[in-house]
Amino acid sequence: MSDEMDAFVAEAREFLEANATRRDVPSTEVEWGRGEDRITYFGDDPPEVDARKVAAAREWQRRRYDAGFGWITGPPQYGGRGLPNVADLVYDALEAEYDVPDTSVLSLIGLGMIGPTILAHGQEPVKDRYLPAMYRGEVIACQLFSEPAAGSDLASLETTAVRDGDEWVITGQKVWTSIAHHAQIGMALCRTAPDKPKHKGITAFIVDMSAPGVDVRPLRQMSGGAEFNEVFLDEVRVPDDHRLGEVDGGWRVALTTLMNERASVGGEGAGPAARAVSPPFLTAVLKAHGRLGDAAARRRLAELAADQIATEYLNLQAVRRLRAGAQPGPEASVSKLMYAQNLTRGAHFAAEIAGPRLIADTGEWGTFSWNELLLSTPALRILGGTEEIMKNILAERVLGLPKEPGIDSTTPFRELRRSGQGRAGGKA
Amino acid sequence: MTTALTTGSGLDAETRELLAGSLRELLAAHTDAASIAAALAELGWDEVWAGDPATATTLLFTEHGRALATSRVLDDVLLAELAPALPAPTGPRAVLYPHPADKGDLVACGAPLRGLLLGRLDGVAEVVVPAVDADSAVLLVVPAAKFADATAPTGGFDPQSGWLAVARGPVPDGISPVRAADAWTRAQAAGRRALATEIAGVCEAALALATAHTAARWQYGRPIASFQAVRHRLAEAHVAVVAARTTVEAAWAMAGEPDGGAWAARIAKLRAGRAQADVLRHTVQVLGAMSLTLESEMHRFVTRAAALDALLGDHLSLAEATGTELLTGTEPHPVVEI
Repeated sequence: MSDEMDAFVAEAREFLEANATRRDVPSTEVEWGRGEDRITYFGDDPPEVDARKVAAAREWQRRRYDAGFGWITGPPQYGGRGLPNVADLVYDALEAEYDVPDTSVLSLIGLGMIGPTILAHGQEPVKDRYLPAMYRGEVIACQLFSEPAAGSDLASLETTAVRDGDEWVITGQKVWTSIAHHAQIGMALCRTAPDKPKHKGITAFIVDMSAPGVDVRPLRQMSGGAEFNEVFLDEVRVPDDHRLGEVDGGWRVALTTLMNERASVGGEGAGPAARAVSPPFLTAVLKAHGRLGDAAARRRLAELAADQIATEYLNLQAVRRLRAGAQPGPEASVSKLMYAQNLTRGAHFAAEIAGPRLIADTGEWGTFSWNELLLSTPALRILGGTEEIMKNILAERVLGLPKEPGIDSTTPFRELRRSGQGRAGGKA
Repeated sequence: MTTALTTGSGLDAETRELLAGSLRELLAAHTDAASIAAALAELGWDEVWAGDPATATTLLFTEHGRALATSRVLDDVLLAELAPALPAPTGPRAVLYPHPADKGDLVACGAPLRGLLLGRLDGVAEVVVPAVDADSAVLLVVPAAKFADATAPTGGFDPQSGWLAVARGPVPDGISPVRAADAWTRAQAAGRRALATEIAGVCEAALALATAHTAARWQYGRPIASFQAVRHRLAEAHVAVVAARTTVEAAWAMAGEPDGGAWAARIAKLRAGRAQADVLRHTVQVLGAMSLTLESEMHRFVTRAAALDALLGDHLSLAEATGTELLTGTEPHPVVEI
């Protein structure tokens, strides 16, 4: 393989040299008191800045794709390059040496979760139409999963899809939908058989977000941003060839997406938030606030460093396994728990050190700037499956503990008591 | 930086499973240090070790922890790193570990020796003692006979460890210190990786006991493991064990460094030490009153894990030292490079 790999590396290097600037300093280096001190997890840029960043992400993904680096491991019939997984790792390592636009708006949900789901469960027309466009940065995808009455208990969702000839008619409401305002398509889970038990009457579809009847409304978060949305679906018509998997077989399809989601959330490495809670940065916080003599703080700093290393290495191993072709398993829940815990503890550590200066914006560098991350950390412990759900998954699938007894997996969905209903047995 | 990716290099999964099975049987059949050493020799352990030290250490110390075994295998790990710096041995060697009460400080040259031995010195000719001379680490090779009247069982938290304390030992007169260069640093790093692995093994066995108990114990008409208050504790314990194991693997990735990957090894020992505190708190709680009596095995895991935490630096001392280094400008070593 080495000749081919050498050629691949040379080609990637040539592309990056021609299209990007090599970094002078590693992105992890800290210079306290200089530059941008905002620490964001969720973007909360004004709409015009946000739009500019999304455009830059699309443009960089298009250039990558056109040069053969947009979907390195994808099957050639859908626009992938068909190279072995190691090529992906090699390219990422090379690209990390350059300053390039952040493409997470494309990669986190669309390419990280929905792309693999379409590839595994989609029909040919959907694969042909959307996969190349997604990997070329033209189509951003969102996840139309959660509903007002179906959060942790996702399988109790109520949005309906009713068959009408070669089409389905979808009606309902989705909520907490990240990046729906940028998305061209959404992957929607819908109730298709209310008389079957809840997991057995769901079907998955790809919905065109510009179709009549789709209405996206922003939700503002306590951290300041508005990356979340409500999505109303009012008799939205979707062709049957946009169905993923079997009719009433949508839960299996959703599991593919959810497994990739946990891997994706837990696997986030870079970004201002991860950098802010990294040992060098937290060390700088402690130094800047003159807390050198605080033994308890020193110990916590070291403990945070140890947890950070554990999480990074776990993710590295997971990436290696995924790239070698393994499916994400329940261990992704461990990554997700550890990652959220690290960011939360790191933010709380900084908050404690900064004290009241974090609450009021005095203009002092690196103090008030922590508030965004601090206010974002609860979301990290909720999105992509709450910590309680992650622990249940580990308890059952890894430790083999017995399930909680319940009637909801055998009872027809129609007869289950749900949020928003007055009483048990209410007829939907 | 050169990064030796030693983990998982030599042995495939099937061989590893076979070896783990052999080690389980071996540690079930042999309980004293001498017969464990003899059985390991018969198994050809030296060859396994030479072929893939990371996997061999991980397998052996995991099973050692799970079985709550006591032996001198940790001495072997340290002596392998110390031997190149020492004169040829006159017979079998043991190691005197720094006394836990000294928080990692080595004894000064010329002062009475202090520390811990992993067991009785029967058949041992020399004891290798790390010491400090004018701010640098040195090694003293002390005839075992000198310790004759100086040892006492450690008692305390884990009387079953079989460890011996040397509280005020012989003054090593007439023994010239050997410049250790990096040998002690490397030996300590290797020892910390092994101990962190052993702690993870103890934790896994405790977690398995708690898992089996809570699945079998019925209250309110259902297994108590079906209550979230119980299962979430055990899930958290699992996360802690994974974190500990992962830092050891990360530390192995740095073991090829000139200092033996000392920084990463200390982080691994620190993380494992914290994990045992968290894991055993959870496993004790879910056993309810049963964990409080000696009829349950749980107390043995609690005391062994705590004793292993105290060896070569407890997690609080290691955190203190690491935090201080971070603040005084020692760069945290990048742990991984692709």
